[in-house]
Amino acid sequence: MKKIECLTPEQEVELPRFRQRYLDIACNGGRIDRPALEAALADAYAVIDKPAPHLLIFDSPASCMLALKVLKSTGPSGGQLRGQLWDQLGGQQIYDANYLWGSQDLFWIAWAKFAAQIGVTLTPQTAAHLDIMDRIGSQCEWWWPYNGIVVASQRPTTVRWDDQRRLHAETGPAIAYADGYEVWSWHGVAVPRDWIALRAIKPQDALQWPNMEQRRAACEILGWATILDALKAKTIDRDDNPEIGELVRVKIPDIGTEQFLRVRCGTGRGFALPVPPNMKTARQANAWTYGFDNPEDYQLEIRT
Amino acid sequence: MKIVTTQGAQGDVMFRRIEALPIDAKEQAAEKGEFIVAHSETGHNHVVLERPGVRYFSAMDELRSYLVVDGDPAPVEHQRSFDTHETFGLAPGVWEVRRQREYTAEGFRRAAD
Repeated sequence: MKKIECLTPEQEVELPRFRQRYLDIACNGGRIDRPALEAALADAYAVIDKPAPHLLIFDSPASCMLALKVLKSTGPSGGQLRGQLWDQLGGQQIYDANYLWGSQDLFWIAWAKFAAQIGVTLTPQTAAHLDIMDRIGSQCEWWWPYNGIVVASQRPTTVRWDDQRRLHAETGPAIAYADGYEVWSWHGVAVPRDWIALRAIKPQDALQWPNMEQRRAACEILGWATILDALKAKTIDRDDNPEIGELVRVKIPDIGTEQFLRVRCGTGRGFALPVPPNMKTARQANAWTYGFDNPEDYQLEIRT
Repeated sequence: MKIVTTQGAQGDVMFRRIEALPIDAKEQAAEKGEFIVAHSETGHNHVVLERPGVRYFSAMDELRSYLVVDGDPAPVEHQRSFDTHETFGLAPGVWEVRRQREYTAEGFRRAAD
């Protein structure tokens, strides 16, 4: 087989459409077509010489996990139906990594399918297996395979991104499932629901949040100007290099005066790091964060 | 790939060339083919891939660890598909790895990301 060095103009046009079709399957809120998923699962089980499994569908991965926990905990005495399920769930899991990703596997399935479409040769067996994974991933999200039973989650009803395809929504959940399970996310960083839904975070809490990625998100949600104004921040020193940053002093209610280094990182995002009260310059404070007592010892060649 | 010879920072982790390993340095095994030089709570580690000529050490100070690089420069990769810190290479030598810290009333703590 000859190595494919570049795409034809037609393939260049087709690629983003192809990708979008799969993104839509995973993210546009489609529901499981039960007969289609049952058929695909039957084919998957046939590959390993197992009979077709019984399919239980729940609305989110969280509900699937709850259901599995409950079913496994009832034991054989939990009545005839639960007893039967317990026998099946208590048995060997077919896939030892617990669950498969379903529609979240479509990223590599689409990649392989597109390769096949432009002329990469797959063995008939690989092509057949890929096809089964495609059919499963086009119906459900995470799925748990057991002997005789599969627990599968519906795909999310909503998925929202920012322009860089980071999970992000400014007024609602970034991911929502039909049962109410949600993921709230700010430019790819998971944050508490109320920060976004209610803007319920105070400037002083934003600046003091323990996780610095979430702290940055909180500061962005509120807006830096808002925080610094609300806390009457005073600039102590500002370096010409934004990656060295700005040393600010703020009064935090019930805590007192604190100093922060407002700094831009190599990816262009702004962070705030608490620094000791005796820092006099942004450069000294920046050096301190990496453990240098003497800022002269801090001479970076590269910062990314 | 840019090569660092004395000091370089990748997000919240910094690399500083030093003369020799501290006496309490203990060699660490790689995890699944990687040395995680900076572990991230949100799942975006900074790693150096395991290969002959690269050894990783810890010591008493939890904000410090060490790398010994022989042969070709060792790339430091940030494992995040977005807002990724650019990969750079560490030149052959002994390296101190420093985690960024932040101030607390009790002293300082590692800046968690």
